[in-house]
Amino acid sequence: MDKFIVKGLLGAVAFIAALASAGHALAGASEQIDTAVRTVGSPSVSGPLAADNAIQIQASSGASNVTVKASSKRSESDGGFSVFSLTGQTPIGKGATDASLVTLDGLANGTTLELKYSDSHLVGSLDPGDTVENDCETKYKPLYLKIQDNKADSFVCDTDTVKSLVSNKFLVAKKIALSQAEYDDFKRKFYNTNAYVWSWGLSTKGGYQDFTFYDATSLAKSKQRHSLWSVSVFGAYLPLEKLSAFTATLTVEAAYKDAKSSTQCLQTPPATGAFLTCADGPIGEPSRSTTQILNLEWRRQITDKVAFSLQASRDFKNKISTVQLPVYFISDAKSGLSGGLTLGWTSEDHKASLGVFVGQSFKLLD
Amino acid sequence: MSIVTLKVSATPGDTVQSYWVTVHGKRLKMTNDEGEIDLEQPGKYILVWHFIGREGATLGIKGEVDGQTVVQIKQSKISAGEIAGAGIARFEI
Repeated sequence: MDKFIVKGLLGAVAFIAALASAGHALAGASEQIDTAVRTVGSPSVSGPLAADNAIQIQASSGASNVTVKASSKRSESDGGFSVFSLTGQTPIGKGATDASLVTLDGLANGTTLELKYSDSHLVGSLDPGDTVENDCETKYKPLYLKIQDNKADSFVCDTDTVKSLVSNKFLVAKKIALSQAEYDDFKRKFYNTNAYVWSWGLSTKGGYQDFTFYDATSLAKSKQRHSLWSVSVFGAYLPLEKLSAFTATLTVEAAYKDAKSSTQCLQTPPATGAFLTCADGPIGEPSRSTTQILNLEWRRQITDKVAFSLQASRDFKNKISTVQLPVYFISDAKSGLSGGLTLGWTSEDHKASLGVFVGQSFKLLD
Repeated sequence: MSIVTLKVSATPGDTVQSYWVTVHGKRLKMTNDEGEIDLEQPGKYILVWHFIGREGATLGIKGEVDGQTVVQIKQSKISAGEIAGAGIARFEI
């Protein structure tokens, strides 16, 4: 784990530098699009299906936050599994209030502790009995031995081995490779065509956030600390054959939001030789709001190299919607990192954003 | 009467989320990655395994009768781009 983190961080630094160049190259592509160089983590740490222990640093230009997660998994007798997890998150560095990407999560920039429970089950598994055993011996094993120098002992009649007989270059060149349909037929002896994993879960989060603002009358700089909380329920559906994951999350949260930022100066005329007193930032105290947020996510792996995660959120109280579309270019399976582009849009100011990111690799099932 | 003991080893690091094994059509109850089944008659039997997890996650299975290995799956893997794997093996007691 330690080795992985060090390796991952070193890889991330190199990757961020490369992506930073790409990000700057994108600047000016459109006046409507804000270009930023960002790093984001995959949903595998914060997503509702996440089951790993993890440490993640997420950063945008001038701000970042760190997330630490510990989880405990329990397998159930029917092949299902449940996960308890505890996740801590805190902003680090300057400008921490800007640490999150396009999000309606009012707790995203706070120091929080989250307790989560999820329960998952697979529906649609089949017992092929001896119906495929004969094919294993007479069809798949002879092909396997052609590419594995007759290492009969290493043959395993499983989905991975049979799938490898479809794409093996030697078998393809000799025109004796299995067809995709033959592999699909083999796989469907174990999982029917509509097999899926479904999950449900609950989470609760609490914490605080520090705010800095200017008094509206005196323009004096002030600080306040406010407590935050949220409760979420989610459901997820992962059809095995579609390489997709659909997740719906409903959250009720109480959070604080900065007042609108602006530049204001005191009307009192300055004494001779003195400068005018001005303030640039949130003017007035942060406001509290309790909201209900629905988040829908569709994660899809298109090819071995490309995947996306389309997320749409709606804040019902404030009537704000956001859409975010990170497109992952899966490149480095060894370091567990991937990078890509992320598009974001919010109805609050009808502004789109475009960024580049590096984070943990895309995963359908966390 | 032959008690077959199956021991399962999954990839470290929680990449296998869940698995189940079936012998002669009967799903074994696993405790700490170990399960037993009583096969009353000598003969040929089918072992089937299913597992879900991340791509690249692997599962190993070893079946023993009185300390003698009767079946061994060294490494069954979940293919790239998939979230489930499965396999079948025949063994004799």
